[in-house]
Amino acid sequence: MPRETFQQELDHLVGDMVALGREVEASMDTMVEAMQAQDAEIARRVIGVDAGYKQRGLELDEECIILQARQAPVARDLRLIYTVQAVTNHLVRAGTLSEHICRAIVDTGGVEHDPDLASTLSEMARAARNLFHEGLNVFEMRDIDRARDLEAADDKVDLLYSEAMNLIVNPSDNGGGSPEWRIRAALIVHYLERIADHGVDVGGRTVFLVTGERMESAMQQYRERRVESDED
Amino acid sequence: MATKSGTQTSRKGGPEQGPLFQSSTSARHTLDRMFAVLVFIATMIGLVVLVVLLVDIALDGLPRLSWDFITSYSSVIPDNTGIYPALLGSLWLLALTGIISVPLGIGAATYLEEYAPDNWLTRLIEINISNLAGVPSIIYGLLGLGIFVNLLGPITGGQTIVAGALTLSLLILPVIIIATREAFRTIPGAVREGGYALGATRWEVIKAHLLPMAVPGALTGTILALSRAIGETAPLIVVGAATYITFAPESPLSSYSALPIQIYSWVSQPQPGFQIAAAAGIVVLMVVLLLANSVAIWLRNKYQRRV
Amino acid sequence: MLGMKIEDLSAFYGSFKAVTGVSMNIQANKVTALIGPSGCGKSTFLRCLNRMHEVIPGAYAEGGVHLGDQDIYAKDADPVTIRRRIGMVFQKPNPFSKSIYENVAWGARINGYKGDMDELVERSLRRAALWEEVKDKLKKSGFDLSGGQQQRLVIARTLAVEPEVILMDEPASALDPVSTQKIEDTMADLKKRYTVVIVTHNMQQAARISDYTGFFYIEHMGDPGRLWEFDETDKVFSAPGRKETEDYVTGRFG
Repeated sequence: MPRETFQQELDHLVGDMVALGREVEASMDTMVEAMQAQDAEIARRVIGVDAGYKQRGLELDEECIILQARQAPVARDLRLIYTVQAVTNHLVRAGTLSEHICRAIVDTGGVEHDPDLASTLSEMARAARNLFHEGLNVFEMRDIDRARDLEAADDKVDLLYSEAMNLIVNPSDNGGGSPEWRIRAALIVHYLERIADHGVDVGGRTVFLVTGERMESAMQQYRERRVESDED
Repeated sequence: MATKSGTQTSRKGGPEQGPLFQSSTSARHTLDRMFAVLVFIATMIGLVVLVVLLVDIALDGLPRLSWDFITSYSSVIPDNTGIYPALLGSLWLLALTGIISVPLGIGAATYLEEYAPDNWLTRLIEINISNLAGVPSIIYGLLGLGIFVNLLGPITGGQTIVAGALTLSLLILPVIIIATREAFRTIPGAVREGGYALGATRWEVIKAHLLPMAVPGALTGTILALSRAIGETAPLIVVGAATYITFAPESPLSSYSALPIQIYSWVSQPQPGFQIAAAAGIVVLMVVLLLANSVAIWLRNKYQRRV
Repeated sequence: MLGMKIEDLSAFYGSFKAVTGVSMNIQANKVTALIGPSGCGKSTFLRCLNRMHEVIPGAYAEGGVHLGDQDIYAKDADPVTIRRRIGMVFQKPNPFSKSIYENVAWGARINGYKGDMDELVERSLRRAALWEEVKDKLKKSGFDLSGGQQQRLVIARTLAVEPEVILMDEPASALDPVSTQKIEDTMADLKKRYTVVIVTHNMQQAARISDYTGFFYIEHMGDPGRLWEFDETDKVFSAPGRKETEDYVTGRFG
């Protein structure tokens, strides 16, 4: 096949990006573990990874620019490079958010927690982690059918978001935790919601990569189809 | 790895297997030089013969050549004889033949190259034209005698310059046609397409672009053909050029002689004085040929400035 | 300006069918690029659009080609008139063996132009972005110009007969990058006044200059060429509709 070198460079680029994604995922696993165990020591392991992710993100970005300059990609090649740039951004940001969450866990290690809120946060963290994991899988397998399911999974995260917010505003009877904990919890809830969104977006970018259609219009078609089948 | 003798070792074979390309470069160069010498000798043989011929004729003829010789009429006395009527006859023939054959030849070539469809009839015509170029000139003489002298006698006046010019035209037409067609063929198709793409008709493209571009090539062929024509003897004898006339031709309908005829006639005389006159006549004929060629080459170069 | 409408066009060389069943609309005042692998019939198709195809002995076309409302393959349509209205620029610059001035003026003169010839020559050369380079040497031969200038001279000569459509058959493929860029810049200007159709092997060129792109393709060896995909250039070069188009534009062919 012609353009073999270019294809190898593209494969290499995608490989590097997925590797970065899997490392971000590993940090997220640690984050979930730290939340479930309420263990600041576990959370401390994630502190500092963000700078490395950002550096790797910049390198991937640069590689994309060089490939565009040298290879003048069009069509699927162009979409792939564009998608790698966008997805890399989502991965790095998700990594940053994971570190922020772990830092919050470390900072609130000694203060009083609300157990109900803590368990809701843990559940939300698992959901967000799973969603991010699924988004990356969708990209790796180019499985755009599963990309459509990401939105449904995101609905669940949104539900947990509302539940957590409700617990922050209306603490339960068996102790609402310290105010500092509740403020941090609000931030964590927000960060988790963002992580989940990044996962959904990775799936959306994949839809564009494969079909050339924007996720929004693809989702629009998907919703219309769902409405039709609901009516049947 | 290249070595000094120009041999190469193979990439796969080790050095102990020896090089795959083994040749004696010096032997190949020797062969090359030998061949160059051979073809040089071949060229020289033709050249030497020509020089010997020219020198021989010049030695014989030049002393006899004088203004008197050129302006005198034929005479039975070798020392008084001159070439004037024959020279004028040849110039008449040259001019008339050119006037008749060039338009006909270029016209026929234009038709065959630019208009004629590619079918069996055209191909038949093409083959015939090529064959005609190879027909012996005496045959054209007989044809001219039958048609221009006898059949069209009432128009041509029989054994006149015009009958001779028509015969010579027939003789050289195939050469002109072939040369002109070659000239047309060297014009890139892009020129025609460029013209058509502007909304030009075929005639407009031919007139404005193809003919001007074909002229140099066509002229070259025409020069060679006309040179051959004025050197021809056989067909002119057949169509009745006179060997002995004491007046200069005044119109296309005059009787005439021609240089080769006059030379031929002198050569067949027993007196040595006529042999010398013949040599001088040959010098005149050569000068006329060279002049005609020079004019034509000048014309060709004038048109050939751009291709 | 008029657009063109092509319906079910097929082109033949004697008994050999080179192009089959092409239908497309060529939008007025737009640049339409035709791309595709070698031998897929795009140049043949282009030559059918101004009846230059039939100049080749034995070549003919079937189907409908309309310029505006006029059927250019109608019985009473005169190819000479049509070619004035639909001009053509070829792959290799082919200026006439005449002066720069005459190169531009000749076509207009044979087509009976009665206006101010000096003015027409200057205007045409300006539109082809050549005037500044040749205004002091109009008497010089067209062959004294560089390849890129010659090609712009040919464009000027085409513009001088005031066509409505300009067909270009790989106009820059024999030129250096700077000349190519000048031709491309010229084209952006030309589409304001003319409808342009260009055949090109350079996909980036098609992407840069065209509004619409047609991809010609031969599926099996020996088949005639077909119009495989025709769409807006933005679409063809970002997300083409067919796999073969995508393989071709990304250079993954064969």
